Amino acid sequence: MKQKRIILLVVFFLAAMVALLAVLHLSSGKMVKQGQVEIIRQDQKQKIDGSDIARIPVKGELVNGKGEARAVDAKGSLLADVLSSVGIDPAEVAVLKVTAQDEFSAEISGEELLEKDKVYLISEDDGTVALVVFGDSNAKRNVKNVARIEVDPE
Amino acid sequence: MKHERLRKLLFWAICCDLGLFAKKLIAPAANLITGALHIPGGIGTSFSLLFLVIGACTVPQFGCGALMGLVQSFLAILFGVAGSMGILAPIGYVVPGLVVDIVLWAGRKYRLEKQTACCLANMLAAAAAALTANIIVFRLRGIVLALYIAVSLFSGAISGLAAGKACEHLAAIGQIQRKKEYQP
Repeated sequence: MKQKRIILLVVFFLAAMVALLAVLHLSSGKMVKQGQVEIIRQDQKQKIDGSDIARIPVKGELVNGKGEARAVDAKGSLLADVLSSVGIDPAEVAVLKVTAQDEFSAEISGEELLEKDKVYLISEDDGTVALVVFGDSNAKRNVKNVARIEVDPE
Repeated sequence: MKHERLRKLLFWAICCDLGLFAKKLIAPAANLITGALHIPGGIGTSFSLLFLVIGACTVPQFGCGALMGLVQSFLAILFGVAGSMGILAPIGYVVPGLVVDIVLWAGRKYRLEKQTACCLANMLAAAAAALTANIIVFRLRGIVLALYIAVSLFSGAISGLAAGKACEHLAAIGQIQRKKEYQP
């Protein structure tokens, strides 16, 4: 009986911790609006809208971990072009960290960024932005609901 | 193979399968919560570990949690549901299995109630799974990592309480079964 009481106390304590940490996390200022992407380089932050990147048709095929192919047919832009549009020279980028709203992230190297028809940001039907990396053996680096792009993160 | 040993292995195999597919089943609902909290997961894994805890608690043998985790990881790779861990999935499945083994062994040694041991095992295994996933895939830091671990611990504790209840019922069913088997 005593053990059960202790366990229940632990569960309530954890629930309180979750609530507290959720409030701290959601009010940390890291959040961006759905469909917006924040580009961070050192201390500079710039925001772009999903509608801004829908410039050219992006078509291709992605392969997931099961080996299944999925066709991509959307509107978007080369990530290098998106960076250029906010005043960042893609040739000077060593590495990029692309992070989703749920904190899932993928890294793109500077060489990959400069490769032709490889790394795109696309605008999804629900207004969110997704990262698409063509040519990967699995779709692990295809980040949905992109929130942040960090240039040369520490 | 002895009848009893075969029964044990079959029970563990069922727990492995249930754990693996429970994760897929609960994923849409779990994603709603983790999506709202802006964390990459934690709830589905905690729930799937419930079956590992039931397997290891009902048929207690040190190492069975790790073994079930290993089998689950091979199944996950074979069925292509290993998620973002990919080929490193065995680490992500065996580590929580090992934690389940250690906690349940300690629970038996220090005579913890079944429900308490199951709750602790599920809770700590879920945290271990979250930490492993973080090291291999997510690389979260700061508050978001703390929240991810706290959500894993909390959902692990709730799942553990359910696992403890299920173990108590299974033990009761087992006793009835044994009585029937040995009736003259």
